[in-house]
Amino acid sequence: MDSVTVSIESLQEFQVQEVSLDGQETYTKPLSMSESLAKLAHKIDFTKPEGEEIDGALADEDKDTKKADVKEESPAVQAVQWPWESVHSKLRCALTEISVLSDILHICRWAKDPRYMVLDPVSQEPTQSKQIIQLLDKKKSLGVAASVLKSGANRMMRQPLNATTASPQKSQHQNDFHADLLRLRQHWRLKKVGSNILGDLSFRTAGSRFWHNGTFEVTKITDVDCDATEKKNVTPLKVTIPSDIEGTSHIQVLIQEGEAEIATASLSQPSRSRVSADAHWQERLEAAQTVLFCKEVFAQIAREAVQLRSPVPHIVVGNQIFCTLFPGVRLCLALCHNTSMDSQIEPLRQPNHSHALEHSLHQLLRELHRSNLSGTTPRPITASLTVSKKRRLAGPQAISRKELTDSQQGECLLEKVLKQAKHIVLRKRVADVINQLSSDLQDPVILVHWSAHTQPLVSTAKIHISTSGYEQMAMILLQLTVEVDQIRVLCKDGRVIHANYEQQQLKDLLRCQISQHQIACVFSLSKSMNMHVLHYNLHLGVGSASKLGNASSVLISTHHGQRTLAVRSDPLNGIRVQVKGCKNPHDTEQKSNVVTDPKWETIMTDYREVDMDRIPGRTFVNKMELLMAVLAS
Amino acid sequence: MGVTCVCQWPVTESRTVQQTVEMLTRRIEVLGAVKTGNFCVDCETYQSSVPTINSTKLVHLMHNSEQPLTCFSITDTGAFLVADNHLEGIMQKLKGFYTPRKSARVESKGQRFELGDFLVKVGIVSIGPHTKGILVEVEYTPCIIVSDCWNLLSEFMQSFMGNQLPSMPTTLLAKQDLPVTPVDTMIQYLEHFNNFKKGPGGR
Repeated sequence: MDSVTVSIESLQEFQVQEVSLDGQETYTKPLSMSESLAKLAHKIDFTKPEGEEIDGALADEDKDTKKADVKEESPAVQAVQWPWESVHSKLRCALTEISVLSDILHICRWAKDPRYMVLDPVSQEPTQSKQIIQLLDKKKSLGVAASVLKSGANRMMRQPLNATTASPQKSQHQNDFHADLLRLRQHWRLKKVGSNILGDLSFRTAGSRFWHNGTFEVTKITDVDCDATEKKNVTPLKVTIPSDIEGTSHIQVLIQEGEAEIATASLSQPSRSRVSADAHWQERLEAAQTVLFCKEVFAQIAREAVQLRSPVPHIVVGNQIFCTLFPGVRLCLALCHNTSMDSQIEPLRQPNHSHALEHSLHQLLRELHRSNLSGTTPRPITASLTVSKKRRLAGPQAISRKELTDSQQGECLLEKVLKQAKHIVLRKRVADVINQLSSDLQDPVILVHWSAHTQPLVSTAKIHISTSGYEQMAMILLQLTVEVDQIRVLCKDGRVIHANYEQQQLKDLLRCQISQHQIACVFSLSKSMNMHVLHYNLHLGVGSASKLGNASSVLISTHHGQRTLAVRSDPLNGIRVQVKGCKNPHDTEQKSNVVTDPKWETIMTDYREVDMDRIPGRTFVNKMELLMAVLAS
Repeated sequence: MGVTCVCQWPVTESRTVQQTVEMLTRRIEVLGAVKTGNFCVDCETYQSSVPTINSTKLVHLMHNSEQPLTCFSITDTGAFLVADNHLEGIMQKLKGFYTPRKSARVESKGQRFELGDFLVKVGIVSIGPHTKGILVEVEYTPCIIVSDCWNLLSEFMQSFMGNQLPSMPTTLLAKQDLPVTPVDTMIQYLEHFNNFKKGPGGR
């Protein structure tokens, strides 16, 4: 077979250095012999040992080319002194090192005196050349590391559950403090001053101007003993509340009637609620804030009690204030602060305490706070002064001076509370009077309807007085408006009567109305029974004057005119019924045979009183009906 | 604010204004009225500076001590505005359109008496430093409808004014059954002030 000659020759292509604008290419000049030799010499790395060159030749080729590129740049930068300089310096370093090595060897090995340097074998671990063993080694070491991490993660996941070992306790402790602190910050304002954490219990941001700053301190409990940790709800977060607002407090409002001594201030304050020292911090902080609020309320009303000018001066004794509402009725306001941490004593409940007034005290102070913060927007928005809407509209609405002065007189807290208390007392008195009267008197039935809509200072009630069974005859309708100082009574005929706080006045008024009612009933009854009314007067000017109000009377005669009935009602002395024209059955008179007409027998008769108790009938009007029926027959 | 009647009290030649006021005051106090202070009603006039065809537009700014926070502004066409006292500030800003203080200030100053539901004010009218006359204002506070209480009001006025009883003012005539507002009083005052300004011939 013939062999084919294959000739190999390199391409005569050169790299394009640049392409000019007119399309002409400039080729890089091919390297001359010396240049190419220098280039190849650069590629030799004298620092590497020769043995590994063969193994990592392929892998190192890329590295070498990169290094060569770098090296090519730096010698090119170094100003081509001579292309062999780097080779020269490398060889020189190599020579230095070799000579040092040979000197050492001479000293160690072949020196006559082995005192200066001795060669000692160094035990080396034989490097595993097998890959599988290397892999197993790596796997083992990774496994050890992984197990450490895993155990730590498990420990952290077990945090909420109780760990009994000592070392995880501390980290749990640490987490609790910060978690608790986060929860505390959600409820209360905290700030860091230096290295302390302080909190704010006061109502400053809500508009209060009380002197107490209400700061509490938050600390971390560092020493935790095992006994303490066994309790359920122990937290490493400790809250220190200032001693004067610790515990619980409330304002006791009592309305006392009758003569009670002023010096009945009880030393042991009755407490309503308890907060123990080891309660949760939220409970303790809330109780402390209530204490602060009650202190402020009491300070405000004590100040006003001293400054107010009233007919009977208010007395401020220690932590109690006594104000006179009506003669014999007193309002007692006391600040009850309980600092004992005992949980054994039962909380007391005062029966007289008015929760409504205590609540209104709290509300009034909050209103005061709100008014301290400027809540109104100025109109127009760009104005500098804010005035209330009333003042703003006073001009365009042409408000008179009198109305302005009336609206400007503000009332202080104590005055408002006193008004409310007076109204409560007055309302209770009115209710008592009406209830007592309606239980005493059965004859006209007294019904009272209290309005369901009440205001703090005004209540209304309607009174119906009527005789049962004869409601169509006559009825009394009274509208009562109970205000702060007086009771306004509106009668059906339009008369307005003012009664004051004395119970007797209202009682008298009702009695007068009832006596007039009885006569009015008899009057309308007589009309329906076909009797003639001779005279009807609600305010009688004849006869003895009544001590209370006016007596009223009605004079009725039967249709045949033979008998007359006279009824006189007095508010105090009751009702007297007299009849004229009835023959006295005990009257023994000789009947004459000449005068036989019965009318002659009844002419000269007098008025004789009727014993109403012996007449059968449920009510007075019922008895009157029976009487009239008998008389008419 | 009740039905108010403002009337002029003629000053005779025999007495000075002061003596007439004293006489009136004595009559009212004999009736049982109580002096409850002083009052003042004043009026300032602004003229429009924008030159119009024939007439000049006037705006009168009036104050009443009875409504201390209010400023009433009434034009000569009858339009009125009841506003806050700061209206004066606005008028200052409108200097370009309304020249302030064309003429001197007119005011009626005097004493205020209360007798039950009635309010009587006897005021001396002065334009600048000159005293011009006397204006008497009588108010019946509970009622705001003219037709309901005019008879009562005139009877009361007769008790201290005698025979010189005024007829119903034109502003009240127009509002027989409508509720009366403070502006109606001010319009009455303005009419009287204009009469005083015109001089004795224009009464």
